[in-house]
Amino acid sequence: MTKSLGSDPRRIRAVRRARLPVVRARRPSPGRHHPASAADVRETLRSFGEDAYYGVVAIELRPAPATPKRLPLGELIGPGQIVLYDQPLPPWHLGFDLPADERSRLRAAGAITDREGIVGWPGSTLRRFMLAHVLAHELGHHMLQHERRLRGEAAARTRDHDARAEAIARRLRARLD
Amino acid sequence: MTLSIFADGVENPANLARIADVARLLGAAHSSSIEGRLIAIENAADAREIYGRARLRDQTTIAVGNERRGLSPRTLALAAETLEIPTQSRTVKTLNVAAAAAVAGWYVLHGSARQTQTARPDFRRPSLFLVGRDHVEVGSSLRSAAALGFRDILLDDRGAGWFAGTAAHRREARAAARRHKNPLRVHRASADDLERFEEVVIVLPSGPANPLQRERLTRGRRQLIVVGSEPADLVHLPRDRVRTATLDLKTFDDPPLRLVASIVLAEIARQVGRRRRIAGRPTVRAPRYELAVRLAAAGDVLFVDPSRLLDY
Repeated sequence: MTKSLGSDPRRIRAVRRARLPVVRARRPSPGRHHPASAADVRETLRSFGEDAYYGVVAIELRPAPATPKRLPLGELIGPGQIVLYDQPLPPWHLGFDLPADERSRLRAAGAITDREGIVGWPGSTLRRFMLAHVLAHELGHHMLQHERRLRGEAAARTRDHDARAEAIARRLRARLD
Repeated sequence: MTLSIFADGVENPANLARIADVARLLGAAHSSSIEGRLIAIENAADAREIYGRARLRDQTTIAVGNERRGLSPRTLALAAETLEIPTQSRTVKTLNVAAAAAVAGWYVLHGSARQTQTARPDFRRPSLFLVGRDHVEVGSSLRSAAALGFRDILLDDRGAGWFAGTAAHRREARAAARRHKNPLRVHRASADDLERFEEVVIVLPSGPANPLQRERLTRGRRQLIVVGSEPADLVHLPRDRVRTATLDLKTFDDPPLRLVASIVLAEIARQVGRRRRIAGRPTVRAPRYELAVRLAAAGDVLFVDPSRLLDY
């Protein structure tokens, strides 16, 4: 069957059907900011292409919840619903050191982690980290779920889901360069 | 009181013949026009359930529609009332048009209590034993069984060819059963296999017996409902375990199985009931995936955002 919505590959369906999602920005908490604005998010989505945002309904920039022992960056909260959380102004004074894997992840994104408990973000590296790493990672989760057309269940166990989302994020990051 | 059955755009001659049989079984007229109050049988959005109605008092016509398209908008607009036969399957959601006419006519004529609501209808559903001689009748009955919530059926194939008929018969029977989406498990059985059941209810189309709606059909798997067979076929069973019930239909030589079986299945579905609906929207907990920086908090270290300290 040709030209079928059900059998065409995702990228073909995406070109035909994808609409740029609504991007909303809520006021950040006092002393914090949104490193990437709504306009930055829209522009990045265009750079990623239709198959990345096909099925995404809304992306919201909102204040991060108060959580101990971790700094929330972004979240896929439901089908097609992505949230990017506000962040402290750089440099981040964490109060204690980061695990080695987290430190290398941030360093790969351009952060400076030389001093214990302090993460520096020179220039626009934090903005790029939020777009090319966090947004791309959440889009990866979305694409996995959307491709399987799952609403109430996961396409893979969480560890595999994260790994596959990160693989998609790497592909999307390449489109930005 | 008179009942007429109006077939609105039914195309298949076999279905028209079975609808004429429905009219004869119910003592109704097979009408080509609408007389008296019109009741439409259709799965419409505003349709009421066929159950929970009083007995028929006035002159009434029930209308059933085309096999694929259903009732025409014109007939629906003329209807004083729209009724639907509630089905319990996710895949087989409709009955054969003649079977639907039989079920609707029987309930409009006799009336019934409402359908029960219960926590576990599957635990209350009895076993069913069908005796079939015609392949299309067996297929249509199996379609009704799936639509009305059954998952397993015992079938005594006496020439219907469901299990070992010609390719053409099997194809027709499976088409009538909507086998491509009918998940019903059909088990080959005979009258000799029924001794394990604690209670056997033989349902007769007519004759002196307890009316079916007064028979309790909710004893679960240990109870067996027999359709299409005569008490003489089950003489080997202990008499204290066998009961007979009647549908009070008009006397008819060899009534079509699909009509009798569909009425029996609908009555079982009414008594067994459906699952209680949970108030409000069902909560589907979609998976969430968070990306965060984990902090190596050793011991009782408390993470405090500098901005909160400044606020303090």
